[in-house]
Amino acid sequence: MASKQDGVWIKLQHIPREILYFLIIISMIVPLLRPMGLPITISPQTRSLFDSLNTLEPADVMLEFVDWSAGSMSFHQPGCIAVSFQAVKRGAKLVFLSTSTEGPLMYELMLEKFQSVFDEADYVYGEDYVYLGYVAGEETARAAIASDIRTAFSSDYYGTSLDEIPLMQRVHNYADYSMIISYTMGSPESFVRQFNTQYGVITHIHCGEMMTPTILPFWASGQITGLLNGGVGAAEMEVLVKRPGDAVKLTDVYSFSNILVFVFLIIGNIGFIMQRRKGE
Amino acid sequence: MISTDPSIWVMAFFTIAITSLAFRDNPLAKFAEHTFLAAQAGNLITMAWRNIRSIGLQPLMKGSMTMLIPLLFGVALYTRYSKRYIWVSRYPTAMMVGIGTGVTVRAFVEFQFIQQIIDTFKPLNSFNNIFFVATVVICLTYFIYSLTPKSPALEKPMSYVTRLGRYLMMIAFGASMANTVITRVGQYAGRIMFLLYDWLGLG
Amino acid sequence: MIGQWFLKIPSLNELATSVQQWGIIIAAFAMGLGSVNIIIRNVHRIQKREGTDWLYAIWLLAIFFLFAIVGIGFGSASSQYRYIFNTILQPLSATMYPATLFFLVSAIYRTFKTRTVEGGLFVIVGAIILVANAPVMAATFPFLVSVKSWIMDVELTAAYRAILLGIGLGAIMLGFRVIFGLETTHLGREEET
Repeated sequence: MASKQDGVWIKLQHIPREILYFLIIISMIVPLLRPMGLPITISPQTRSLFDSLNTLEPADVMLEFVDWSAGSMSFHQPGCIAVSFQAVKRGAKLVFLSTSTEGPLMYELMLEKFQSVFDEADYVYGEDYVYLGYVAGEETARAAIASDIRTAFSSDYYGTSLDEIPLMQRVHNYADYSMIISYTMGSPESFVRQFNTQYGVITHIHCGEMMTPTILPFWASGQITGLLNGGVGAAEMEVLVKRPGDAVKLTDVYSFSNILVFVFLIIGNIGFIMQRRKGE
Repeated sequence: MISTDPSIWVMAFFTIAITSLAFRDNPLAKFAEHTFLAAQAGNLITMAWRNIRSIGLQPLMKGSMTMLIPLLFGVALYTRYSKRYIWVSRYPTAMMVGIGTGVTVRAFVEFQFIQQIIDTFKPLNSFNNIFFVATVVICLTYFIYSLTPKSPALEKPMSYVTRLGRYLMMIAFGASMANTVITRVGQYAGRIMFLLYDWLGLG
Repeated sequence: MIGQWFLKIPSLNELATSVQQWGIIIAAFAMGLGSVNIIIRNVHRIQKREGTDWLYAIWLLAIFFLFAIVGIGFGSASSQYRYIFNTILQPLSATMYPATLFFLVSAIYRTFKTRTVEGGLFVIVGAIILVANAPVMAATFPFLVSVKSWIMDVELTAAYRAILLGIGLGAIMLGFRVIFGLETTHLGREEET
């Protein structure tokens, strides 16, 4: 016979979704308006990337694949900024390029925030850094970039022929890349396959947390040297390079939102378990 | 200070319109969805044209006649819209799939098997290493569908092993689920940051 | 491609690199296929004039041609294209997939129940990882960080390695079936019958 208590357990499993959504939004607004600035633990994957960046020399060339879309800009952009900052600090040359259609415009948005770093370091476009633009073909394009970059690009994003760009005169193929890093939410394994497995190029990945489980085995085996784990990884990198930014602000959101989702999970299960017990 | 830039207001409108889809299907959300679809398709065309022009047409104009082959193959892709000539589009499709498969498969064994198996051979001198190797082996037994032990004495132990493999994988999937939530939280928080800081000027 | 991997012959390498370049060009053409499909479908919707559907179709085509004309005419590096991209596509793209967070939260609340041992393990470990990734909890209960690291670096890595090995076998078989012509679904043969 249904009792009042049974109703409570059933109600606990049927909270209107609008309330759940509203609470989630509030859990994001509060920490963004009142940051807490809690300590961030550095993971071995991020530490590994940072240590690898610290081996860069001024003559080294690093390829940065700006492959994030607007959806993951909240963590990929700060991750790219933090990594590029460390590379610039080491004096390395940077070749930015994209194999994702939103990449070029994402690069432009990133550059708006990063141009001051280039200016402070007296980095000149064409000599110290360059952006080549977008190339179609996904893994085929990555394979082409690894074997001969001129099969994928004949000019930079702004139309200047590669042969007229001083930096690109000494960048031809895998032998000229000291390391590559890919900021992507789609198929990070293809970068490892085409650069590290094929040619032994040091490969780093910055992917979303949801892709990390499939990528961790490759980091564990050493095929990926450095791995940034989504927003958490980007925040760790910002802390390591001593330049806290948007990613560090995001970690406060995780404090609230993660706990709220945990509470929803527990409430739903408590209601289910108690209802099942009453029914036994 | 709330933004007076009209483009910021348009961006805020689209953000709220798409978010409203989670609550209820409504005309604003439908409008935003159609806008997204159209803009994505337009962006694809723009980027595709850049590539065709810079890697295909410009070298062709400069005398590289071999570029005619992929350009013709590319145009042939569009014969799929003709009932009579649809068979022509199979050639460029086959070429594309062949190149993609070749590029993926060649390093696949080294990438996904050899290196992974080498790393699995850890020295069994710590709990973590023993657990690691055992987990890989036990989870792999879950995928062996065709090797059913003929002896009844082995059948029951094997069923326990595959069940344990299932439990170990569910632990991994639970962690994976949590990671998915964290990703989406981080992504959506970026939109909240935009609305609070750039639109409403509260940051 | 496979020859390039196994045989280090310069002329073969050059041929393979050229073919990869052809693949890039054909892929660029393929990107237009989806757009052509969209145009055809929405023209049909306008012709049918059902309800308010056709009004959305007109808007869709207008935005599509705006992006295509500005992008091809002025170039994607132009300030005009950057403006329409940043104002229209960027916020939509930035919100579309992240908004699935709400559906995910609803699914977690309603569906992930401890009905079985497997379900229980799934829920418990998911809960631990969620909480351990919250800096406030990691600062209050430091042991959570060690637990999370162990689950991610040992258990999850091992389980996913086994899954990758299993998937890898299937992917290689599929790859060779495509290469030897045993797999033809990508050529759309069913469409003719």
